[in-house]
Amino acid sequence: MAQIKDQLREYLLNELNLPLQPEELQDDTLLVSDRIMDSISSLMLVEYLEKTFNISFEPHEVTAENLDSLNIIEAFVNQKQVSAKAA
Amino acid sequence: MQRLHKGILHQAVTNSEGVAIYFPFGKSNLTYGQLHSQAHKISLALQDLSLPKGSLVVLYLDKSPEAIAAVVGVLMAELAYLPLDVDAPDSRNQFIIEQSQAQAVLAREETEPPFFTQTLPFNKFDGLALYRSSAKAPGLKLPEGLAYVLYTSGSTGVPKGVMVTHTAALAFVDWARATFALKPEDTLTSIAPLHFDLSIFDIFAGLSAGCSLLLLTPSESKNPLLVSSYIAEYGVTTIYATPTLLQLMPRFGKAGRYDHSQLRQVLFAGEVFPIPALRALQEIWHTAKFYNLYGPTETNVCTWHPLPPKGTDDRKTPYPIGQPCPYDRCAILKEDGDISSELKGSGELLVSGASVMTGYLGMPEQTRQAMAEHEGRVWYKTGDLVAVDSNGDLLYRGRRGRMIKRRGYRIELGEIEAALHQYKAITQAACLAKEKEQSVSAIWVFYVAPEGPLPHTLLTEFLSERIPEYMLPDRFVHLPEIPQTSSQKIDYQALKQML
Repeated sequence: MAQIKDQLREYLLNELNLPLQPEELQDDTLLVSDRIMDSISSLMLVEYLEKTFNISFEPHEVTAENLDSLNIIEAFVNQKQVSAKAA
Repeated sequence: MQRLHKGILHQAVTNSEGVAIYFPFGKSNLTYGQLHSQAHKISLALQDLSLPKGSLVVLYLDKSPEAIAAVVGVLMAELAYLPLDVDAPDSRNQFIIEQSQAQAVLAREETEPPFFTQTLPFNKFDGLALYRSSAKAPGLKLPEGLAYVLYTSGSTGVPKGVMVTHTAALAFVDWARATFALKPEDTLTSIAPLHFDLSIFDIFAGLSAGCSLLLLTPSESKNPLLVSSYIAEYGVTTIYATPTLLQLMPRFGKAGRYDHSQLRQVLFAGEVFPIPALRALQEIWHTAKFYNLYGPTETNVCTWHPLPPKGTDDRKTPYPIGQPCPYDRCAILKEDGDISSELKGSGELLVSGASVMTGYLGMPEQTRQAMAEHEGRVWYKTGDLVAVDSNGDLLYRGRRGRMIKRRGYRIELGEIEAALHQYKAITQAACLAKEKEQSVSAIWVFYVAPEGPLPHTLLTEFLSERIPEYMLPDRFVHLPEIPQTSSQKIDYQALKQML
C-alpha cells in the first residue's frame, strides 16, 4: 500500500517540482487547499495518475476533494481500481 | 436611445420558454421568461431606492443566473451596473466602491460584505440583499446613457473605471450578433467573469439573439475535462475565451472521448495565441471557424480577423488582429508623434468610433491623457504597438509600456515573448526587465513548458536566430504556471515580485 504514495511523492517532488522540501511533504499535507499545487499541476497529476495506475477520471472527479493530499489521492486511486475490477 | 438590454426583453416575449441559462454547477436552468421575471423583481426593488437615473449599482455577486438577472434588472431600472470580482482582495473592492461613489450594492444575503459602513440591508429577497451605500447622492457626474463601468488595473496599479454607454456597448453587440450569426439554436459558453469585458458578448450578444448561455464558474473553466464534457452535453456551438484557457483543451480535454461536432465557432481575445497551441486546438476542433478579436476594455472589440480554414496556410507567427470593426476607425501614432489615419507603417494603435468609452469614472485627468485629438475626432490611445502587414492587416507587437532601453537599444519585451511562442515545447512565456537604479540590468523570461525545464543554451540558440543579440534574455525561469490576473491574462505585477 505504501507503494502508491512513494511513487506519488517521487512524482510530485521531482517531476512536478512542487515548491516543497521532501520532509515537508507529509501524507496529509494539503496540496490544493494550501495552494502548493496550482491548476496546471493538478491537471498534469491527473494525467500521470491515469497513465501510471491505469485509471480514468470522470470530468467531475478532477477536484480538490480527490487530489488534496497523498492520503486522499491514494484512497481515490484504490477506489478507482476496485470499481474498475468490479465492472 | 436604444437600450443595451432591449434584445433580451424581446426574447422574454417571443421566446419565453426558450432556455436562457444552463447552470450545471447549481443544477439549475432559467428560461427567458424566468430570467425576465427575476430581473423585473430586482428592478422593482432598485426602483424603491429612488436613485437618480443612471446611478451606479455595485454587483457583488459570483457568476450565477442571479448575477445575470441582476445585470438585466439594473438596466431595466434605468441604472448602470458595476460588477466586482468577489475573489479580489477586500481592499481593492473597497477602493472601487469608494472611488466610484456607487449608490447601492447588491450582494448575496449570506455574504457579509466587509466594506460597508452601513451594514443593514435596505431590502432582502430571493437570497439577495440590497444595500444603500454610504456614498452621498448624487455622487460623481456620470455620462448620459451609462450602461456599465468595468474597472481595469492601470499600469500604475490604481484601478480605473471604464464608463461605457448603452450606445457604445450596442455598437459591438449588434455587430457581433450579426457577424457570428447568433440564433436561438446556438449555445454559448459563458466563461468570462462579469468584471471582464468578454462577458459583454456572452450576455448581450448571446441573450439578445435568444441563445442559451452555458454558465461556468471560475473553477469549472479551469477544468478542461469538464469543459470538454459540457461542450458535448449541452451542444455548445460558440466559445469565446482567452488563449490561456483554450490552449489547455488539446492536452487535458480528452476531446476524442466527446462529440464536439456541433462547435461552429471559436472566438479568442485578450492576448496573443501562440501558433503551435492554436494549431493543436484547430486539430481537435476541426469543425469550427476561428476568429481573433482585439480590443482593450476602453474600446471593447475594435478589430477582428477571421482565421483562414485549417490547413490552408502555414503561418508560423501569430495571426493579425486584422481590420477595424465597421463601427470604429483605427489610426497609427508614429514614433515621431505624427498620426496617420491611413493604415500603414508601425506605431501605437489609436481607436475612434462608436464603441469607445466615455472616459474613466471620476478621473478626468487620466481620461485626457488617454485620448488624442486628430482630424476633429477623439482617439483612444491603446498603448498597444501595431504594424501593418502586406495585406493591410494590423499585427499586434506588444504593449507600449513594455518598451525598454538597454545598451542604447530600444527593446519591445513583447517581441521577445512572440519569438518564444514559436518554440514548440513552450506553451506560455512572459518577459520582464529587471531594473537597477532606473536602468535595465537584466531581461528575465518566465516560461511554461509542460515537458519540463529547457536548457538555457538551447533557448538562447533558438532566440538568436529570431531576434537581435542585444535583445537576448539573461535569465530563463521555468514555472509550472504563469500567474494570471482574475481576467485570465498574464499577471506581470506578480511576476515582478519574482525578479
